[in-house]
Amino acid sequence: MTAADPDIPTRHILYSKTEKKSFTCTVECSSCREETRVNYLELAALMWPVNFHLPLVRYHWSWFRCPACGTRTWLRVHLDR
Amino acid sequence: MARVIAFANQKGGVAKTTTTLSIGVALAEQGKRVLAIDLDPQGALTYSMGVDPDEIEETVNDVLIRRLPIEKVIVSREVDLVPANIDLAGAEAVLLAKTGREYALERALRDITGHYDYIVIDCPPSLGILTINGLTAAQEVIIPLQCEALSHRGVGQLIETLVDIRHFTNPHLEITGVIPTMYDGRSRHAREVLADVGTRYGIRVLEPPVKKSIRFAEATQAGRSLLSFAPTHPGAEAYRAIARVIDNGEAA
Repeated sequence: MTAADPDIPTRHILYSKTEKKSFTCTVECSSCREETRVNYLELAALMWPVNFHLPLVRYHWSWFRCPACGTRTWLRVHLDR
Repeated sequence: MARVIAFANQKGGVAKTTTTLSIGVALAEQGKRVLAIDLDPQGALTYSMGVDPDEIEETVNDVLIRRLPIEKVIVSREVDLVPANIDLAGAEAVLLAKTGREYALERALRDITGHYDYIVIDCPPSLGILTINGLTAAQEVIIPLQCEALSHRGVGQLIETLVDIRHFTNPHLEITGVIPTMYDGRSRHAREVLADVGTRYGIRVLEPPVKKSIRFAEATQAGRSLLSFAPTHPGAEAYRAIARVIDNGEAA
């Protein structure tokens, strides 16, 4: 489902979730506070060569490079967005 | 963790701002720590709390667009306030181009939700991205409702939006109830509209109804809530009673 899909009500374009495509997710940065859509290949590239994860310990629980500001910092991956 | 309550109705002039401020102040009178957020580019809540929207430099617009930490824009009044002014009108256009635009306010609130017992949000009279931000950040929504013929049509449209919000961004959003405002108990029509909204949509009506009074406008002009401007006025007492219902959780 995309925002350009004529089958979805126009008011749903207000929701960025309607822009979600297969094999994409969003990454929310604790430093620049931007949320950026990436595909899974881009996500893997951002995590290379080092990344670590502390689930349940903090809200932004993954540490790797932010696609928006380029900083290695704490991020949260939203697989459902 | 704060209870975050959005006051929403896309119809204008139904006393959303008055209700947000009055409930916020009533909760503060009960010893609760309250933050009020103005999400309306007209800055009505800001003005009602004695802050000139044209004089302030940093507003909720800077929080949503420039990602300024929300605590930097808070102004202390009867309750703490995150002000707004006409700059917020441009935020809709800027946010529309962003991924995760629905969550801008929720992200901002995450840092301060532990500092307050209640966060009340005055949504603008539209169903656009600012209202969506308010409803996404909230756990509950309260619908101020003027008891007249077109009101239940507006409630129907708002409920459609709430269904969308639950589907796309906030599955846990609850409708706490409807607050009847500008109520004229002498009119059979007002009583019928109120009964109709309650039964048609299965939404709880938070009582007592708030009666129409010129004192509300006078309090706004003075930059204060009715609860401090005319503490014994029946309108102030009505809001105190509704705030007690909300605080006791009877409505949730």
